[in-house]
Amino acid sequence: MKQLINELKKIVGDEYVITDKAGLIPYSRDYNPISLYLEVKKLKISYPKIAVQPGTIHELQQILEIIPKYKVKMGVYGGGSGVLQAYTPDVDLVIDLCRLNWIRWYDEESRILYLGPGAYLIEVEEWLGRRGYTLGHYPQSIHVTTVGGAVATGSIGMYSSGYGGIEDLIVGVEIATPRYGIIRYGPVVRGNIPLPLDKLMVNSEGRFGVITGVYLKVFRKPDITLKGVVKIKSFYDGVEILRRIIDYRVYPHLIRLFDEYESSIYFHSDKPVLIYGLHGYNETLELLMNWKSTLDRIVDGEHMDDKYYDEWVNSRYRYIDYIHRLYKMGIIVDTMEYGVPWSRVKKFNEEIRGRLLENPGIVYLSSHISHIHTTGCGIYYTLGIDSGSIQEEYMNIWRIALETAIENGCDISHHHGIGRIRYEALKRIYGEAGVKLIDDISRLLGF
Amino acid sequence: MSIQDVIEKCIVCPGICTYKCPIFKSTDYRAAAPVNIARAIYFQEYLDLGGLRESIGYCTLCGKCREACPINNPLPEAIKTLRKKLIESEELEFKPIEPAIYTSNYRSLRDTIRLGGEEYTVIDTSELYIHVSYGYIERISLETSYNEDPDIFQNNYSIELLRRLGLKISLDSYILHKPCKIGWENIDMFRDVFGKEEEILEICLGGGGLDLISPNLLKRIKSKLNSIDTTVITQCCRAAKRMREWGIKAYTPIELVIQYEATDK
Repeated sequence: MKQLINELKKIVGDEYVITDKAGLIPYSRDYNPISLYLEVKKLKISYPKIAVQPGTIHELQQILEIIPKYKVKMGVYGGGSGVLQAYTPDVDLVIDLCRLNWIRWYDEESRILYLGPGAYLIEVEEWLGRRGYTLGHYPQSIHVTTVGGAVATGSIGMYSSGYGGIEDLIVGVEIATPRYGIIRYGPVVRGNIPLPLDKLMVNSEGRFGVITGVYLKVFRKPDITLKGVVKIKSFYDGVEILRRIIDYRVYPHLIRLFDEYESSIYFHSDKPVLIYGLHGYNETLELLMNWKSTLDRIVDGEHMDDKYYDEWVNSRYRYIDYIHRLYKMGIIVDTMEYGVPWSRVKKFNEEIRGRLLENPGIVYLSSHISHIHTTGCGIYYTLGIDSGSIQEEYMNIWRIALETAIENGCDISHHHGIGRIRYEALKRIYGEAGVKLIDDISRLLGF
Repeated sequence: MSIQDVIEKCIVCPGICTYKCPIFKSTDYRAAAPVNIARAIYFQEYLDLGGLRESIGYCTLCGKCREACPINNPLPEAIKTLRKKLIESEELEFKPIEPAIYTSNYRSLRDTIRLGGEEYTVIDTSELYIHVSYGYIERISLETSYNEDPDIFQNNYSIELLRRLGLKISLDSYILHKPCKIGWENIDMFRDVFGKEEEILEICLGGGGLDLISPNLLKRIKSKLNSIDTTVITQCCRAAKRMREWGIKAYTPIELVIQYEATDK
């Protein structure tokens, strides 16, 4: 290990190789609730042996090339916002990409931006905002998520129906691999080639390469936002409305259907609430108004004041207070999301809720639908788990939920990725051969 | 709110404020980010981290984390209270830092003002600047309104006068050093006199105390700044001095007023 440390210091400089306990604690976990709980309760906190912070792609490549010689276990750290233990500290060496945080190149005419993997999404958005542009990519974790991490976990944001997920935004990528060195692909307009590397890297979770650069599409910042907040008769009426919206190919930038529980918290409503927003430009105001009136017609229910839309958008990052208060009450919050075909929404939702609530450790369960697609939607569940039983029940709860998703033909992940928590389920849906293919490609690239 | 409450709120957060922390921005050192300072405080004994001197010393108490925090969690105030406790128990050492640099030679400024027919008062603030390490930023960020701080007041006063007189200082281009909010509330006033900046530099140089805590972090900051060859204007006299030691043309506004001949707009 000492020899490795010396070699790393030669590559990046002494000050960027961290080996002391205090400096390594930031790499103790991602934002997975059970890891967080064990840490806060001082039951388990571990950290890697070494953290290294390359300042250039060349340095990163050199690091990757020397690692096989030492046969050490390696992890990559972006912003630490993952929730499924894709990153864990049980490694010898963690490569922290935070110094590769540049906004290097912007082709304003083609609306293509080239970013370092360590750039925080929020900083990119602010940089673009000052110039009149936006990525339109606003995940809940926008303040903590890095560009590389967003790609590696298949991120999506609250404006997905207007701007798409990260897979729709990415138009090129650069990666470092131990065996093939640096490979760059793009930026492309459509890139009609075999094995487009940018798409391969979406939700790759570090298996195929360390992301060293990302090309993303950007959009003109909207001039206008038209909004709607509507109380719906029932959750499933709301689902039918969402399906019709996508069927008519009306694409509000934001659409979200809250169940009764979440509606009561955010809107003080006794019925499910559906909110929607349309981004547009002064030049297309008429078109936007037509779409808005179409939406107003489709969304059948009791229309509420638009101010609730802004209140919800402005308060959505205050979740820390909520998590802290529940911690004090002995409740741990976890979240899970599934891609559900429209035809199975009701059956899946009833089953997963029923089966999860059979577990006495789950003290509450709420949900919302926040992403709609032609074939289905993303349903997002928030669970309150009694901390008294969490250590024994945590994986059991996940196993039940994933089992229900697989039995109902749903996606086991919509946008949080696979990590370690969903790895067994990945084996179930992909089979031995599918998982071996992933592992073989990873090995081929030198990981 | 108790220190315990503040810290407990911080440690369940993924670090929403990290990207705004000027020390994290300038060092890329994760242990210096606010959320990890909170974790170091929380796990101090459990992990046998050997004292809080380093972790709470990274913070300049600029308050940017609190501003960025969606629940306005007062971490800087909690760190400040902890520092006081450590100082009282003599676990943390106070070392005097040198007085601010403006004790004489206001000639250019005086001449400029006189030419404009304005009355002036030279503010000799040298006595006020015998601060202590960690104290400089702390005092102006948490206790004093920025414009009441003698140093900042002096900068702003001189620039305000030039602006009122319709004078400007011509620089080919310059970078505005603005890691925290100190001194830049009325930023347009400076732009009227110096023109629009080429870019804004958000790298903090440690608020005067970082070198005492961790020379390694100072090396990191230096390597981040080594490509700067444009004039930097800063409100922080310590940052100006440090940058000049590193070969960067860095000045506080009043230093520019003293050095440059102001001309009619």
